[in-house]
Amino acid sequence: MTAYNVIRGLKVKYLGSDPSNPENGEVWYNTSSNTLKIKNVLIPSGTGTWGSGGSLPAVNNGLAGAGTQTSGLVFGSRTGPQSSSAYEYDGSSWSGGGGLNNPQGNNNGAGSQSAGLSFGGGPSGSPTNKTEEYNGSSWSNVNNMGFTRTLAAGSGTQISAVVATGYSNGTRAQTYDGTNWSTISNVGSPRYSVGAAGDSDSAFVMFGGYISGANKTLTEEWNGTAWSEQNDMNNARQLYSGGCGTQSVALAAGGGPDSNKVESYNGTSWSNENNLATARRSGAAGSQSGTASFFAGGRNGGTDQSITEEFTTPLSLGVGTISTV
Amino acid sequence: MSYKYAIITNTGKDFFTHQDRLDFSIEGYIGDVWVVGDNEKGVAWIANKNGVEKTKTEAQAIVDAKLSTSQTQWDALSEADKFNDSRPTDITLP
Repeated sequence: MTAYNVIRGLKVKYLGSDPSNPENGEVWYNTSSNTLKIKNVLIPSGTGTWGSGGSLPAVNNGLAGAGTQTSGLVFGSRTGPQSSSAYEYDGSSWSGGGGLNNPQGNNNGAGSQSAGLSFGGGPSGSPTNKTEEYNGSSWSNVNNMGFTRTLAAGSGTQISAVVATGYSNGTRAQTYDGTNWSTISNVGSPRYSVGAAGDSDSAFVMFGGYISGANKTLTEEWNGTAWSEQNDMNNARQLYSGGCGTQSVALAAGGGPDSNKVESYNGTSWSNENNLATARRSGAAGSQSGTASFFAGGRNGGTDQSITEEFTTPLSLGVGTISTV
Repeated sequence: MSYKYAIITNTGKDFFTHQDRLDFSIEGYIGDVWVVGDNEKGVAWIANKNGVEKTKTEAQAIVDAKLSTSQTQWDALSEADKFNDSRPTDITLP
């Protein structure tokens, strides 16, 4: 293996605080924040805005999302009966994708347009543990979750994902390695209709939700070892399928009761972003990016929607976090 | 802030742009009701979309009628189906 200091000419320093004037491309480990950092990568800069995107071919509510603003995927729905429909987005318009083998609404999504993952979902009376993988054209049934659940918190990739809580699973959580689901330690606070973001089974954040008649602002992070309580959101909401991005650059869009609120998370705290033009709950956000995502479908005023809005955050060069421990 | 009220069908991509959102406020409601910031660019956007302007009272009545239908439909749901979606709440236009 080639050492980093050979190919780049710099060593990774262990520092108690960030250097005052790092070189472009310099990497260091901040021992105070336990973060690996790099100078001059694109990071969010300023408040993001929403523009209108191409409308879904049909109204949909309670659908799951994956991918990005220019390569998106939504699947499942609870408009009418549970649905197997899936649609792919290219940044302008939606086209039909391969249908789920098991029609599901209120399911969770992870991964990309060419490597997607659907897990859980179903009506409250019969939540499911079914899991399916998408290869860009069709879905395959794979090993089921250890527990049935709907309206859960879920995110990650097709080979590294997390699912937590949901109805009626209390505090139970599991990770997926591309083959099997494994039980991990329980989350701190049971709830359902929870938003989530994360790009692996060791970097996951869940937020908002609903339980016992109250909407929640709670935020919890999973670092691959343990759950920890983080700073609360600004607005209590039911955020099923409204979360996207990573543990350190996450976005929470819309939610219930019909909300146009949008917040971003930087791994430490939540900031208000520009609102959605149309308040909606149970729409689908793309899973992979917290800076260039979409929010499609959902329900507003008791009416299911087909509209899509695209979120874009301005980016500028700065010090970025590579990973957290 | 003052607003314009109009009936406009969302045509999808670029119906409004990121720049539009920075130039004036836009909020969409059921019944194709759009509440738009009353400035030069907002007024031009409504005209460009062939929007049918309404008074605030007229726009609120359209939203209320749609909402009433949704609430009646929700009330008729079974208890199991009601779990999946809370009752549509009243909407007051800004």
